Amino acid sequence: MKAALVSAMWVLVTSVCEAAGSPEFVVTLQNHQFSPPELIVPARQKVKLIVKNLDPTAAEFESYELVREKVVEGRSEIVVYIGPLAPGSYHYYDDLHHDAKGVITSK
Amino acid sequence: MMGSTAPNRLAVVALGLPLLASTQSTLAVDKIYSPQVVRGEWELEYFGIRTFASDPSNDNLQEHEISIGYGVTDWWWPELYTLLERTPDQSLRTTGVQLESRFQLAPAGKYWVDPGLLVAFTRATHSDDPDTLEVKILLEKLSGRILNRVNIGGEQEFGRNAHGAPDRVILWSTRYLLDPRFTPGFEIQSDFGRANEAPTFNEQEHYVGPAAYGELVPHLKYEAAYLFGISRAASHGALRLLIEYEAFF
Repeated sequence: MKAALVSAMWVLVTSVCEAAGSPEFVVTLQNHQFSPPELIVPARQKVKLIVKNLDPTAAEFESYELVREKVVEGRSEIVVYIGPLAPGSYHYYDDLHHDAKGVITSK
Repeated sequence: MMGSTAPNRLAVVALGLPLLASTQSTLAVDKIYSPQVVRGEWELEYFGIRTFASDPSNDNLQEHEISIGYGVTDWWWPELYTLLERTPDQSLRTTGVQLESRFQLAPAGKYWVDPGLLVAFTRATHSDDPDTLEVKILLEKLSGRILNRVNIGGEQEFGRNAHGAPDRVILWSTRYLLDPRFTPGFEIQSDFGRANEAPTFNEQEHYVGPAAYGELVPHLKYEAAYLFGISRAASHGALRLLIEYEAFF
């Protein structure tokens, strides 16, 4: 048990070491549509995604494959960290307006 | 609706009830929490456990929890529970009220592992039962389509009939992100007992078994697991079920 707790603390301590130099990408939401509809990001690299909501109403950036769920208020922006991703396509949507969908392609 | 202050006020009212909180858990099996918190989301949840054993003293033990939670901020999720329990010598009864706070300690994905903290105070409704304080470290790591969650912590009794050292648990969940409606996985749940009693493996409660997670329809999520007891103190098996409804106002 003690070893498990020490291991957990070690994981926490090492987790404080943020990956530096993550490339940034921007996705905008306007009229309940994400732009660009497909975002290309580098594979096997952590990415900082800025989601800008230009609509007056709130949205929820959600992705099952990325395990991300975060509210972005109207006319505001959030940061979502994703990856490192294996090459492939990862879908996301606005959980408050399901017509708004996008895809992140990792290459 | 996100800009409304009404939900925030309701949350503050709920948070003003901490001293009404909770009950003691007689079963090792529990929910396995994510450290992630969603601001502005309400959640109504049912969580239940039932054990199976040939020994009547370990068979058909039941715990049921009904709760309401709210994401007050990006990092704080309080949740208020009513706890019910059935034991071999007693029918189903309310055993306590619990106020739980979950804290997201870093933005998801920012670090190698996503950390969180859970603190839960349970006030027993029966004067012979002790109150409890539970603290857990919550960890989550996504690797490709494999999602791992680990909860490590302990529960300390206090008040009347309280035992000495905290009861220690490690809960592990691994799932494969196959489909939002059906995500298969497995769980390992271990209750190591109290440190001062130094229980052997067979005196501890250890469970392992398959699990499924998913979203039946938008905003209605489930978790189901059948865990096999692998130590003598554990029941032969334990079924756990969770249904949650999420909403935004």
